Amino acid sequence: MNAISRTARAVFLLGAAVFFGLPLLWLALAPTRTADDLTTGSPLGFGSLGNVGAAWSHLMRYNDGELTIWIGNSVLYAAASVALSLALCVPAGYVLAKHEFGGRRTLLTLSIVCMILPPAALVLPLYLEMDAFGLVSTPASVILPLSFYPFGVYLAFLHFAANLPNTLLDAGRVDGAGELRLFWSVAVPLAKPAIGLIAFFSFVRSWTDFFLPFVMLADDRTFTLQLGLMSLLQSTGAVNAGSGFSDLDIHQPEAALAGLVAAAPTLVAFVFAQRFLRSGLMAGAEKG
Amino acid sequence: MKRSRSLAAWALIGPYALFLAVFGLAPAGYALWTSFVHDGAFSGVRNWSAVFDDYRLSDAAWHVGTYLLLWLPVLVLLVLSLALTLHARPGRFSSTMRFVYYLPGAVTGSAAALLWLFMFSPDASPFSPLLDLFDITSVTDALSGSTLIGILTVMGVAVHAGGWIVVLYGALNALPRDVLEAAQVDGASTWRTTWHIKLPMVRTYVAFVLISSFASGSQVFVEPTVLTTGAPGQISPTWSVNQLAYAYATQEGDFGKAAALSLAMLAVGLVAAWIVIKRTRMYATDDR
Amino acid sequence: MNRWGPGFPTHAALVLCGALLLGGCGSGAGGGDKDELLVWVDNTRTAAAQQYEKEHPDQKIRIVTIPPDAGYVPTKISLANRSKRGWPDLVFLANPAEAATLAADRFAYAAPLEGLVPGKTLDGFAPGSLDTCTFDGKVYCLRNDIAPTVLWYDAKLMEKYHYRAPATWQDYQKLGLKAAAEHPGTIVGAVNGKYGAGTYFGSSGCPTRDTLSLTKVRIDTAQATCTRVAEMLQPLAEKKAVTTVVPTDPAFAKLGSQNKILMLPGPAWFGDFMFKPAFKVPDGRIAAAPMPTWDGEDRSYSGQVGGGAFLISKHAGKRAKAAAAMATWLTTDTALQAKQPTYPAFTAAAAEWGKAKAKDPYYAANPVPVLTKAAAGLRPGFGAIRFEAEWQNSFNQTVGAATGGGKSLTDALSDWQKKLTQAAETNNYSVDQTAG
Repeated sequence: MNAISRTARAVFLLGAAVFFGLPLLWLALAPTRTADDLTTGSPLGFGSLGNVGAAWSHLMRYNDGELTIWIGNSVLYAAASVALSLALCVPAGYVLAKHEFGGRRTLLTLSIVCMILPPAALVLPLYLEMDAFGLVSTPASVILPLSFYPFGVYLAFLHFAANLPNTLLDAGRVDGAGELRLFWSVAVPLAKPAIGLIAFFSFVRSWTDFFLPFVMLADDRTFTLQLGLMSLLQSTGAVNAGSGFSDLDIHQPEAALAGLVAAAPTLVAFVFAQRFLRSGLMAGAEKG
Repeated sequence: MKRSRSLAAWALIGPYALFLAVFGLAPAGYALWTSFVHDGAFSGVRNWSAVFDDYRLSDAAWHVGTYLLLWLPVLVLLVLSLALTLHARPGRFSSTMRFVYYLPGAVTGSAAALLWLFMFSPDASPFSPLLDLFDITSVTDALSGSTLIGILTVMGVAVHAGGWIVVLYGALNALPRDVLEAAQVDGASTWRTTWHIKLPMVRTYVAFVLISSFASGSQVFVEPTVLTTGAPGQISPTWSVNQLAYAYATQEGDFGKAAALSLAMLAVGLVAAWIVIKRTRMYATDDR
Repeated sequence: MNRWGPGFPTHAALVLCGALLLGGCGSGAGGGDKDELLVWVDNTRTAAAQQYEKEHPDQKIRIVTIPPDAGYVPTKISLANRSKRGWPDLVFLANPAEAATLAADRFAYAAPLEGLVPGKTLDGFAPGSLDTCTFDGKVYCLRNDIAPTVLWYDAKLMEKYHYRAPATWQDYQKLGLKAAAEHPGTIVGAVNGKYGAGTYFGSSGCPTRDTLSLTKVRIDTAQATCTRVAEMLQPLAEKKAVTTVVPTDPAFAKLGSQNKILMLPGPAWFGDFMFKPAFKVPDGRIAAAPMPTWDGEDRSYSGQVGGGAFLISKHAGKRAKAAAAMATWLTTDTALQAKQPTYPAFTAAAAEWGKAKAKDPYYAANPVPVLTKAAAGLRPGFGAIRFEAEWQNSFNQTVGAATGGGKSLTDALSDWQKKLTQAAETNNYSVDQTAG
């Protein structure tokens, strides 16, 4: 019985791994192959590492290596908005979970409203707002709206509500600790897994967001990697040969390599976030 | 005492509340106003009735409804079963699996267009035996008629499941170990622990998954857009309701209609959220 | 333990300071200088714009590379219309159909070129190529490149099978059926989206997007110019001699590598950008023939699938002249246009472009004479419309679906009519079904 259930578990998990893993395996192998081999060769064939180098140098020929500028921009925008959103989300989630005060439910509800509001409604208002601040086409026009991250507030709220016992806070109060101090020295250390998770999702959102840069940025030198790559791949016809014509020799293997470059930071962030997950509640509870 | 607690609460949540007002509520309010304005003058429900009279809306609503019916249950069940199975035996294998499950979600934009174009190409895809099973002979074929909804479902699950698995796993991981250990001492089977103890304890997270997924599913945009990049003309440019809203805002320059339709989608998402919140008592602070 | 000191009342202040600092980093929206020409081009046109900038040091120019995505320019323009600033003075349209959007009242962005570009210059463009840019008799844009269709064919396969490239659509149909019977799997055309609608129906003069003005379009798929295409394609569809697979599909590339593409009527750029890099047909095989002719017509007409255009802003003010000068140079300079990847719209430049193409070892025979004729024979009535994406998709849902599903193409035409009419009316056109 135990052996059967263990086998069933392994089959289930590994089967899912094939479903989720094969696309990325294909993408990882694609830059080593030629465009011809991608359509006619074996689906998971390996070409040569030399092709990867060639693909990279083709990509760098686009607007004198503008790709590296976009990577820099994306790193800046993402780092700033992650830092800012953490500073906003964690205390907000804590208060919503652990304090009864007028306006709590309203804030929770309004956060949900903003979280699921379709972005098409925001194109014009956000643009006009940024225009009024004189920020259109500056990094701030992307960073500030991205830092408002109700999803992260909810993650923090759920974590504190489920995992931070009120008794712990009350004990602190009896000891004479102030409310802000309780947050910083009791709640935050216990929230490491949640903070890791929020940082991760906030990073993914900033890194992959397409809508804000598309609307706000009016100069290719300020583009994010996502927006820049779309520009690059579309204008060279790399994905759809009919979308653009150039002599840059950017085709499917180059598109795959570009996609990997864009995906890599997300995956690195994932690995980091996993470390936080492991440092679970118990470590903190003992300290408390 | 009470006063100082309330002050502290506002000090912690104030910055977030400010961002909520500036980047959430103000734009949303402005969008609501725009939805009643046409060519610079107040026009009552003109935009709203134009949207509901648009011949493209009923098709789009039908597509999205079908998509939700297929995608949401598959997604939620897969996410729950994988997260719980992984948590039954944490360790290196489990964390590797979480990483693998997350992979497809990391690829975005034009690179995703390339990836999925090839995943659904019978001759070039590692999934070709599966595609053959469904008699799919080309991407064009895969994106025509009734197969399209299946393709979108598969893609939507692959892209969205990984993130939610991480969230749920994180929630499970943060559960106090004493409760789980007590259950094991009681001799409860793994299945019983999972069903009767773990699942109820993470119900607020499940609620959150439901609310967010319902909203993102009913606002599906990325998947059909991405597939259109690779095979232009094959999928209706307004296949989903959200695509229609984007078409209003971008191609037609009609922000009033975009706002009206977006707010209608918001209303649908909010009804679903309200039901889930009521059912799961998600807002309660007095759990433990 | 308490790293921020007791109480840290600075939290809110810190966040705000951060926000303000970020704001401070920005240099503000561009285009502040009143003399500076703001130019938006796609990547392929960026080098040319930079060359112009270098050659005109007295003219301040700011060049921005924009994504060629459909919808990008209209979105940016409608936002600029609301904030009343940020309009580019000169913009390249990778999707010239957007001229119909940008010239319309709601956007009111495109400037008529009257007084900016002399008529003599306009006359130098391929006949009919500026139809895309013309509404109510006014020209709103300059075409950069055009995509007239020709009949591409595999000369080696033709020779091997002892066939000859057909001169009439009747012969084309016969040859297609023969090829399908003798060499199963061989195809002679693609009936998908803009490739099917633009190539077959566009070249036949079927009125599906005949723009009479910015608000009036003639759509009538019951015309003989439409039904003759449906009837010609019907048997080819039944015998699978034409495919409904979109040419950008990897499955189409496979047809190329398996020597299954005998003929493929398609735009001029198919040679360099489809057969060669995507379908992988080797050197010395592909050749171009004129589009076949219809019964009762004594010459060959071409359809259109693609091309680009330059627009000048209504808001350019005193910079309008400079913008027009730059647009004129970009589209008509023979030395510049001779180097660009696709067929130049300006006839003199196309002749120069053809000199290099004539020597291209990729082709089995010099394609330039055929391309030149095709450029001079654009079928009129193929205008820029605000429902371009629906135009493509509705074709696939009706005619394309019938082609793939073995149904009557003629019946599908009336479904297409319905969908086109709906799309046109939703985009503020009145539909004329009788005129012409």
